[in-house]
Amino acid sequence: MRSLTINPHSGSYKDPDAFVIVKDDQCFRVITQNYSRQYTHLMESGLYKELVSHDLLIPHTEEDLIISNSFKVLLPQQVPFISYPYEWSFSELKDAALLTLDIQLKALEHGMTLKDASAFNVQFLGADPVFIDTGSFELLDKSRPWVAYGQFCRHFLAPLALMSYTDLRLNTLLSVNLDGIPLDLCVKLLPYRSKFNLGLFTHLHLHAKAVKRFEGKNKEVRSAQRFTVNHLINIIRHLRLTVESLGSSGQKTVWDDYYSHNNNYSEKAFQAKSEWISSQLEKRKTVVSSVWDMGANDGTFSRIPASKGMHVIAMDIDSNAVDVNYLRLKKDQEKHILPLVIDLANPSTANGWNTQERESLFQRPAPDLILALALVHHLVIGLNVPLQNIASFFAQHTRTYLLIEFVAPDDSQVKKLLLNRKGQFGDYTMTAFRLAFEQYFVLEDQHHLPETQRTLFLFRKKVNDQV
Amino acid sequence: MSVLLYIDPGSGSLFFQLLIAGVAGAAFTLKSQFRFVKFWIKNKLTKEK
Repeated sequence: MRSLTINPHSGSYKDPDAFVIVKDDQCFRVITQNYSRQYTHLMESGLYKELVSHDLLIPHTEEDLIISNSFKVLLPQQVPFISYPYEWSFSELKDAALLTLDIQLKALEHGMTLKDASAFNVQFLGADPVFIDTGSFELLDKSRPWVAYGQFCRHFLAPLALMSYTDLRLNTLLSVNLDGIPLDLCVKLLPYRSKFNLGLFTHLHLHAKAVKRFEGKNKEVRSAQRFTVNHLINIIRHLRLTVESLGSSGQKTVWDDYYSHNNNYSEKAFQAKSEWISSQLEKRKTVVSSVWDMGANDGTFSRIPASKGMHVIAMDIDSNAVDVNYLRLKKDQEKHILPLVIDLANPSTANGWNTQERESLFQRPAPDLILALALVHHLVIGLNVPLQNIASFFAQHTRTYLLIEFVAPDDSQVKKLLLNRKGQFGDYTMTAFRLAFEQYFVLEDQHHLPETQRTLFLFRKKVNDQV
Repeated sequence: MSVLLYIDPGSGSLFFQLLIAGVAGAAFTLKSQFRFVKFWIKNKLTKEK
């Protein structure tokens, strides 16, 4: 048996009893002696087996390793791409909430309870949420209320209610409130009609009042004789019904029906675009395993690399389009695409303690290929980013390839963008585009789409001495 | 039994659960039954069409 001393991962400092370490690019979970009783109960009560067989909890193997005070060292199934709650759409966050409650209900059946309900405990394998914190299970004290109730409401119920009742864009509040949205802030932002939803009235409005009332008071709640496990189950079930009752419907955005109704392509052009992308990916199938589809909208074109077994992160700024994509993936049981809400002009930064707790988008594994379809004109005209900077941006973040669409100035969508800004973008031409990109990339192939003002380019990144 | 906690559960959130313990059960039952009735009526109406 090998013995090692390794420090916990910089994002895994809160729970000293069961923490994560990274070794040779693999994540291990160290179960310490302090947590041995709980871990043994998890494994021997049948809870682990039941959760894993329902795909609720990440499976692990026990490794032949000793790390400082460890009882066991676990090697969980690895998550290919870590994402954070502030990058999820409404339905992704809702499914993560339901998953957490379902795990809590199963834990209660086996004499255990979740000791935290952080949204960061959930990750996505493709479009399937899975609980990754094997060290979150505590032995149940039947007369004690749920210690993670407040955290669940801040991490899940508050943002879901705000997105459902106020505005979908409020998911961004999670990026500045890493321990969830404070309940007093949440109820200030919710409209009055949210009080007519009994669940929200109870778990957010009244709960916020209770939190405020006990603030700063020295009262310890250990257990209450009249409180039973049935009361706890009822609270969890009621939370579940409340989460289930929330919907994101009725909030229309510019992009959510882009491909189905507001289609800017003729059938022929659409077909040609799909076929060319497919043939280019097919040729590079052996060297491309991961793709970032930037500006993916509802993921129409993300399906092409996914159909070839490539793992795709489908990013878009539009929360509604990302949600449409996610719901379709679930319906089709497509496992290779993870849709995320990302603003390319301001992508997720590193944050948390010492800004090392959560990684920035670009600290996570870079893709072999970036797909940037119908995007470059938005960056140039909508955001005033010079072509040179865009080329350098893609070169920094793809490992090898870039498949990009150039949308010429006389395209109807570009004309719309230029409507009130005539004369400002004279240097937005195909020649300037190629000049900028060929500084960082080698052109491997190109294809003009029939009946459009659009051309597709397949670039390969120059190795350092070629730049 | 006292367990070691690494998150602060918040006294307000704990007391609040003791307070709503009984009500949550009734609310859950009511809501489930209301759903059943809604589903039953919807089913009936669709069939009659």
